[in-house]
Amino acid sequence: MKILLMGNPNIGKSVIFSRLTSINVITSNYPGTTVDFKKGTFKFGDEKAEIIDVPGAYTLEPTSKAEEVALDMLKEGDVIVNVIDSTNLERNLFLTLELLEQGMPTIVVLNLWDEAKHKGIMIDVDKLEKHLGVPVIPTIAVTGEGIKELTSATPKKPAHPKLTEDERWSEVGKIIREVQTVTHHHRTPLELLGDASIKPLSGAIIAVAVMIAAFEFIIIIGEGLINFVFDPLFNIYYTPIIDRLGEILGGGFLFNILIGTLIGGEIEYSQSMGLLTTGVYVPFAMVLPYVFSFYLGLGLLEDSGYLPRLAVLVDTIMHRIGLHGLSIIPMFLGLGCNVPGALSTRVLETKKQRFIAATLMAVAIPCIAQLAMIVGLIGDYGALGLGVVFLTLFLVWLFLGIILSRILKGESPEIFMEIPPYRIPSLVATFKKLWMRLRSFLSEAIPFMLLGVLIINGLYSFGIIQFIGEVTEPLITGFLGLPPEAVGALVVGFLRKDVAIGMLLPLGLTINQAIVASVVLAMYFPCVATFVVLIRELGVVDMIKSSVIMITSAFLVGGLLNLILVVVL
Amino acid sequence: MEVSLDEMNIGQAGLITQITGGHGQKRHLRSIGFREGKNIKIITKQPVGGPIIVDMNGSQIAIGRGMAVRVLVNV
Repeated sequence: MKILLMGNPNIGKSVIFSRLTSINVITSNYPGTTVDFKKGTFKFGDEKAEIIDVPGAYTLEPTSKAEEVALDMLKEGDVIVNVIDSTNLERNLFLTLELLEQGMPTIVVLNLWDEAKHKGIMIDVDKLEKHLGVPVIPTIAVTGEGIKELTSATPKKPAHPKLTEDERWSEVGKIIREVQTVTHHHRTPLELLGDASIKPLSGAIIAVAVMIAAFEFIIIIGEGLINFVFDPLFNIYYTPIIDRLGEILGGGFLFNILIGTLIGGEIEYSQSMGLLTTGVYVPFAMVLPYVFSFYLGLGLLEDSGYLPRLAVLVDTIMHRIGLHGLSIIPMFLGLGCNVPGALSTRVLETKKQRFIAATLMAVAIPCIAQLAMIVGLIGDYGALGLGVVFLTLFLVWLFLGIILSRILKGESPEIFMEIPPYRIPSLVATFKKLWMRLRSFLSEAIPFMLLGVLIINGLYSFGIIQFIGEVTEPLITGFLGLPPEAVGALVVGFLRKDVAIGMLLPLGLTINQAIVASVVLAMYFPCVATFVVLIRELGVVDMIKSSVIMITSAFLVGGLLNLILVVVL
Repeated sequence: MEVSLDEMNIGQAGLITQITGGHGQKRHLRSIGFREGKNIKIITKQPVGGPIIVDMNGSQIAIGRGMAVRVLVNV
């Protein structure tokens, strides 16, 4: 038996899904967190059933790619579990009627039951059940209330005539009048804060404060973890083992692969480029701390419901680049890792918007792993260098966006979205999400990093890097002003950007070179994982276009930056 | 008096009288809650042609000016 979890966006379908299946899925407080379907199994009655978490949709006539996914799923299911937001019965019931008209066995779930109560909304469940002709079960998914009742309910096949849109709305109106009573409630502090953070002036002040706080939060926690946890751990426990291993190996091929080159007679974790030195130190002690602090901060922002408000505030700017406010979601997710960033472009309505959002994200948004390494490379020179890198990437994002939105055909629809209420993030849920993201970093990124380090060693041993360096010398050295060895980083950058920047550490770059190299590496091409996802999302033809844009703009900007820096600094 | 949603002032409330536009546009607006006979209140309008935030039945919706023109409101 195949069960489909369907309903409007941002009403807790994914929370119910993880309650039922004990499979953890990413949940947040904004519409469009789930853009792809997720499958799991659970015991439904006495039967083992497959359940599919379908992306949210307002109607069965899709307006975005995520909604198309939802519609496609409908053909595959046997039973529908239609999740409804109790605080917004009227709008949700439209989809419910559409689903009931499909004639499939259905259960209706009234989620966010507690929030409805707080808002003074009372729903007569028995009456609603009679109207719909299928079981109706109130739940509070975040606490698990009502989930048991859901798993033991029997879905019923409804007998609803096909209605026109107008008839459906008048039916919804009739049901609402009979089953729902709304009493007045006082505005809560969270609601007042909600209004303040969306009004132009107070909203802008709050936005700046939130962004500064988020930035500080990520830096302080990331640095703190490095200085007080990971570095001491490495020095106390790991170094003796590696030193010993080095003594045993004494030198030779295996020594070069595992330990790498000694810097001033000693192992330098960030520069030795051995599999067990740099290959372990970079992911765990340089990147992981920032991945942790970034995703903790992002999780809190996501779960509170702040991001949709920020989306509204930046909407005007986003219009200039052919997007709308909601496109900050792919940008923010891309800052963590470009892969989920690329996937989340599905919340956008048109092909043009998805192309612009995906290309801009891939070009100008470095992932946190790459950022952590850029901080490691340039941070020592002071904040100015980092500022130049970020400013350059921002300008690229802005101007490339303006150009693309002008030359690309297609529509750029306006923002049209529901702003969810603020919710106090549940620490359990936030840490669960953090753990899922860390786990995927550990299991997906680290093998690639180690592979990257291994490949570099191999390529150097066989003289391949040196060869590519000679061939591309006019471009790399002449135009970008980088040493020929930097070409190795550009080669490895296809695989992992963080490792690529790590390769620049031993080169003793000047600040100008470090800035140019960081910018070019960030821009010229997405890492292989992002590349694969982008091909799937954009199609081969558009991805080729996007890649050409990336490579051209990277070298143009790199060369220009090199010239400007020589003059200015 | 009937005005379009984008002509309303911040804090002003009214009753939606008509949704104009093609079938798809109407449907899109209605699916998220803009329908004839619904009470609507302007919470805020973002400057320089930015989106309008409205309150309908206690839920808030951000809508661009181009779409807002197609919602007629009796104030």
